Amino acid sequence: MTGKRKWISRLTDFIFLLPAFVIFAAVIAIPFIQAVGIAFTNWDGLSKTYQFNGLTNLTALFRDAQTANAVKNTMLYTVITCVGVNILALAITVGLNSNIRGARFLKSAMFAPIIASLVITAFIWGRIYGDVFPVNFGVPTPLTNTKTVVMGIAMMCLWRDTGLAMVIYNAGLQSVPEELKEAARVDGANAWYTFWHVTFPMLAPAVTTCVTLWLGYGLKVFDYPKVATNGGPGKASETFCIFVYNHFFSNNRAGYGQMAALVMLIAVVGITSAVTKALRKREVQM
Amino acid sequence: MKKLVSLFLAAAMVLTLLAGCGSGGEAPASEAPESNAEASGSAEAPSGEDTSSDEEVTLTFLHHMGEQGKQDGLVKLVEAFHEKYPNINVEVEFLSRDDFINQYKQRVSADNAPDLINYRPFETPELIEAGLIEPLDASLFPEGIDQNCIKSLSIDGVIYGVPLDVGGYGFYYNKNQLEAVGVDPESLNTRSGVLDACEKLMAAGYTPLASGYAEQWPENIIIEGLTYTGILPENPTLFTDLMSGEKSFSDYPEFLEIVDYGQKLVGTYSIVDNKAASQQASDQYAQFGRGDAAMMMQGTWAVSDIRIAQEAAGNTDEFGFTIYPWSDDANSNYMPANADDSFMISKDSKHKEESLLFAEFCMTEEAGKIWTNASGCISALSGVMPDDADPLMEYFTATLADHAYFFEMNPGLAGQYYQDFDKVYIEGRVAGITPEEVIENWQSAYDNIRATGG
Repeated sequence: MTGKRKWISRLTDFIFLLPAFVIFAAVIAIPFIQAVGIAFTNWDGLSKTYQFNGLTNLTALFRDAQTANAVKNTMLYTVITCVGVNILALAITVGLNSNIRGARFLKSAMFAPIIASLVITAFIWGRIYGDVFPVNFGVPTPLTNTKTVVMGIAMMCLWRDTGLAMVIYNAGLQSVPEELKEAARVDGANAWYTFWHVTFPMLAPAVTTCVTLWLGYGLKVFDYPKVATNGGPGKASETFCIFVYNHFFSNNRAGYGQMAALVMLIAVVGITSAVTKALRKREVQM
Repeated sequence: MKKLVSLFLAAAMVLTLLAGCGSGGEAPASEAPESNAEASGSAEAPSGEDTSSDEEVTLTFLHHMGEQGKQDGLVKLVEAFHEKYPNINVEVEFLSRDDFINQYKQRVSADNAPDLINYRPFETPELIEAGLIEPLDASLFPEGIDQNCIKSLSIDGVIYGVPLDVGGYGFYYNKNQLEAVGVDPESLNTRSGVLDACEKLMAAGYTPLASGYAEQWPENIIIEGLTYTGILPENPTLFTDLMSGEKSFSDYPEFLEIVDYGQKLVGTYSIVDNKAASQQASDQYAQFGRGDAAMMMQGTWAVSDIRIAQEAAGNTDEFGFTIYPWSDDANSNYMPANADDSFMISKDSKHKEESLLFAEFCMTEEAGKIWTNASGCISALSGVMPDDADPLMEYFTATLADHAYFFEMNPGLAGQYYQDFDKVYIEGRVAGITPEEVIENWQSAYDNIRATGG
């Protein structure tokens, strides 16, 4: 390809990217850059004026007794959902790939909850917890207990998202060569040994994808607790995103809320990058 | 390169989360805000119908009235107004109260503030301070308007709200069930009287109090109501003193009794089973209306929904209403009262003249009648009574006249202080901690807000 043609080809590629780039810049990048400035002010979110206050918001965030509560709730939710979704999805996918009757129907059924929006899911489970649990099983709703509320909210995610993770694991399973498993069986390996030493290592790319996805979803969870409990009872299910939202709006501390959002951005990027890097390393070693 | 692209994509995904938190509008102006009075003076009522132009105008009325009667009332008010001013439509939008003010602030940030907002100055002094609410001229209000309402809707002598009705909160009771357990409704005018009635009802197998505490606001009014009548009358600067740190919660020993009482009302006598823990305010009205609970702590606004539930269930029991006593001294117990359903006009409304016309219309006898007939609430206009008044109206008006305390004449809690007051209390009740611990937690929360620059 001549230099001119190469240049035209690159320009064509760029033109295809341009609309998406413009939208991204206008809707996300520029507002974000503007918002970074707010993090270093005492803006209340309503007034027409504000003052620059340097690192006051940052130091206050680390002194704030409520920060730890929000971090604790977020981490608890993330661990439950990230671990839960992945184990459940993997187990069900492997189970349904064992040529059991009705496997296709069951796969579709498991995927169905993903159609519901996060808000609808929270409403559905709010009613299930509120009406079905106490009346049919004599079990109180977990959403009104400070000790069980995060677990109750995490259940919503497990119900809705397991199907999506199953799709990813199912695609991974299809790529595992049958002859490898056959060879293990010929060598006398039982089902568990074959899964653990042959199938599972081959699923490493799918594990990387799923763990990273649900780690990210968990760390920035907002919808479920917002709709189901509004962060309550009290602040028992206040996640970091709700903490940011409340400071930005309810508490009239937009500058402080924005600083919390910035810190969260750095933490989420840092954690997900580190985990992804560690998981990718495992893929290479395999 | 691959790593860089991956990092960029990851950062882009996370940015989508944070972009919504940024200011979508213009950068805030650098000049100092004008004081409300200086900004535009007080808006006077337009005189007569001919002041509006013929241009088609649509006003937005953002409200949080969940009761069916009130929602019907709003529709009827808007229809009557449109009949009078055919070129002005009013679009009524409902938002849940629990997140109402956040949604409003988001709209303000997006330069999309509604013309009319169903909130009171006491609840959101920050909106007034930020100059977002139009000050109103006294000439907008007729002579027959309840002056307690006007004072409740004013800050520093400037009126900001238009009252549709006057109300308060107290105990609804089922006369038949109280009679069955030998409780005289008169005894409900003291705290011991209420607790004694609850014990007798429970012992006889009744549910003492209807529950709606899966939602936050029905429990907020439990603790707020007791504070408004128990501590505020003697300490009008209670909230400003607590926010500034000049006083601490332990300076008010009444809080111990109040928290203990509130915890008992909700924890022991309302949430009597697993099902009750998950009930919403609408369930609470229905529970009482059906006769499934003997009493209910709620506001005068609930009456229309109670009647709907009562009629649907074919329940023929008689109901009564009394004050919400905070102490054992009947003479110091009042009904916490306010200009319940009120609205304010956005200063940045693009249709200010038409908004004022709507406010002026709401202050007419015609509108008062429409509102009181549909909502079952007590009109803020004296002498305006519903055609077919609910029997409970007699109790409401008598209590308002003799035993009401209009707490919103005093400065209220703002921002995070308001949020944490309710949240700390509720979390404490749910976790089953003692009143002493709740008070400690309140103090820690307020100290924390101040320490972090709130």
